[in-house]
Amino acid sequence: MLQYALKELIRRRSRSLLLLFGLIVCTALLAASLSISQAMRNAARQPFQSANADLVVQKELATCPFALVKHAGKLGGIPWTAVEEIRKLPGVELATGVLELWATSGPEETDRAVVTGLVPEDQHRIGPVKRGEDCCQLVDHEIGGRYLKEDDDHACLVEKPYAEKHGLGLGGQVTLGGEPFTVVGTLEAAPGARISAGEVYIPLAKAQDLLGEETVNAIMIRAKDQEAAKAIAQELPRIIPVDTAQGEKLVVTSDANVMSNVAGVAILAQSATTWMAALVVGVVFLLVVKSSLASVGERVREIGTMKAVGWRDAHVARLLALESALVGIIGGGVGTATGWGAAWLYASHTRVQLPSLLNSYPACAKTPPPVDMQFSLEGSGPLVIGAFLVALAIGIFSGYLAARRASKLPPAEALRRV
Amino acid sequence: METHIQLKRVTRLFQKPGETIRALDGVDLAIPRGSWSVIVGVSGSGKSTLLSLVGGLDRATEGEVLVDGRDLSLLSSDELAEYRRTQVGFVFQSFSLIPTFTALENVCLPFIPYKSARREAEQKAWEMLEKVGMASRANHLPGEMSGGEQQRVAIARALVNDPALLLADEPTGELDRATGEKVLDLLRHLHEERGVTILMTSHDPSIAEQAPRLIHLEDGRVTACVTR
Repeated sequence: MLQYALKELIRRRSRSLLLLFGLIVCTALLAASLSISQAMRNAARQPFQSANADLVVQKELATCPFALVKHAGKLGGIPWTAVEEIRKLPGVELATGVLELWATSGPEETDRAVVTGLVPEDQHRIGPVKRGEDCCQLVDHEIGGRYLKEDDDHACLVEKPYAEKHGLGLGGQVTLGGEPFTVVGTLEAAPGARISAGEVYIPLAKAQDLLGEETVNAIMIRAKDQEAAKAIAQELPRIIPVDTAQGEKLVVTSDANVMSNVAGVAILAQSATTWMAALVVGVVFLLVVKSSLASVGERVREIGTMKAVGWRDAHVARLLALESALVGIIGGGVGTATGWGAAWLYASHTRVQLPSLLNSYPACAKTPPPVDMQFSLEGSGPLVIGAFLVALAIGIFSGYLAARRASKLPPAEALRRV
Repeated sequence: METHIQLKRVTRLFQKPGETIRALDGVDLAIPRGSWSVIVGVSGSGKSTLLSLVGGLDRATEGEVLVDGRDLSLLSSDELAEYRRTQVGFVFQSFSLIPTFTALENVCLPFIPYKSARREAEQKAWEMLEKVGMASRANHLPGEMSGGEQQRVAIARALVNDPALLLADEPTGELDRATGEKVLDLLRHLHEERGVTILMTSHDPSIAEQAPRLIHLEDGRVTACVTR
């Protein structure tokens, strides 16, 4: 039966190729758009996953003039009391504040280090150095390296590229805003963008001393669920008032809006592709159904012959269904592979950076800033299988219609037709 | 002689927009087992309809079609398919070979949906092709064969199941006289060798002259039945 079905598909080469082409295009578009969409979601989620946060709250300001120690980029100070108030909101699982600074670290004006002050009690659970495979690991743990402690004063953690650049190891000294800090651990981070990542990490209290303000400039919040995150976001303007007359702006970022801020055009294109894929699926569906029914019409006499030599209605129906299913399997398989390949190429070659507010490395940074979001196709497997199943369903459904028509054909009538 | 096929007051009506066509009109007929009968009549006289009813391809509007005493009108669609597969062989005017299948595969066509019989089928198909002198063309497609060769393959297909009844609808209609004669000789030889009941339709007066049993159909009625 399979042999006959294959021969039939080969015999009607033009029609089979047209159907296959349609199914390949529709499945490829569907698989590619779904996979790229998943890659974008992964990319937007990854920095938040690395910090174990759902929301990041910042106050955007105009750039401050040069100083030995100053807020990084356009970040403005938020009183620490805001963090405490946020922690009390319903639906908040974790909340911490970090103070991201640019501090001089050498004799030149451009010798600036990106310093992040963090709460030692929170560092393992939330924030830019959260311990885990999706963020950071201590590389010198076995030789005494450690995270920051609550009672640390002039201690610091350094990122591995910064340590390598400056020849730093455990016990090494870093000067920040004129004050010496001793390296207690070196961090190696997973590739990909990280929120409020610095080159050097010091206790938050010490960072506030250096700056002379009891503030933070980024608050990271872990919510119980997405609904809670939305409710928390609505409360934030009340907790953190801004002076709009002074050009202040409260910025709340989540994985849901980071992509729309950064990759608006890409999202638009992706949305257009999804619609196009849906349209092509519809057109191809009609094409395949029409062609399968036409195939019954063209093969009436052949179907009559089969029935005359003893094929049952069910045998004829099975044959036609098999032919359509084969078209669905081949078209769906090739289309899925093509679409996934295209999505892989897109994901490998797309470079999208975090909004600068979330990782405000200065232009003169001497170690590479972790700002490239990672486009991975992780999790796209079920979507790609879904695209394949759409093609298969089109094939099977059209086969079913053709089979139904063929099985109802009276053999004597079929043989009368030429 | 034992009766193989019996038609009792068989009527077959076809409904067309605005008219009812009476293809067969109260036909009574008995065909002895192992006989060779030729049905003659003008186009539209009901020859092919009669063959379809006897072959289980169609059902009578009224009356009974009995084969070995069994009324075909009482059989389900699947039972009719089984009847055609095991007891009937068809030979058509236009050969009706599957164009993508080789001669061997065409002869195997009745067995294709039945996995268990496939190996045996291939063996039988070879034997039948040898019998009709087409073994050397077993792997050729119908498009690569002449009309006479195609009809030989069709005859091999019709007989591959060892049917008791062979129905041939104008088997020489699309062949030249010489090729037609050869096909008839082959049928005669197989008839004598196997004792198959043959019921054939034809326009050709020369075939009618040679027929051992001649059935005249006119406007759906049997007007004469001559045994020589």
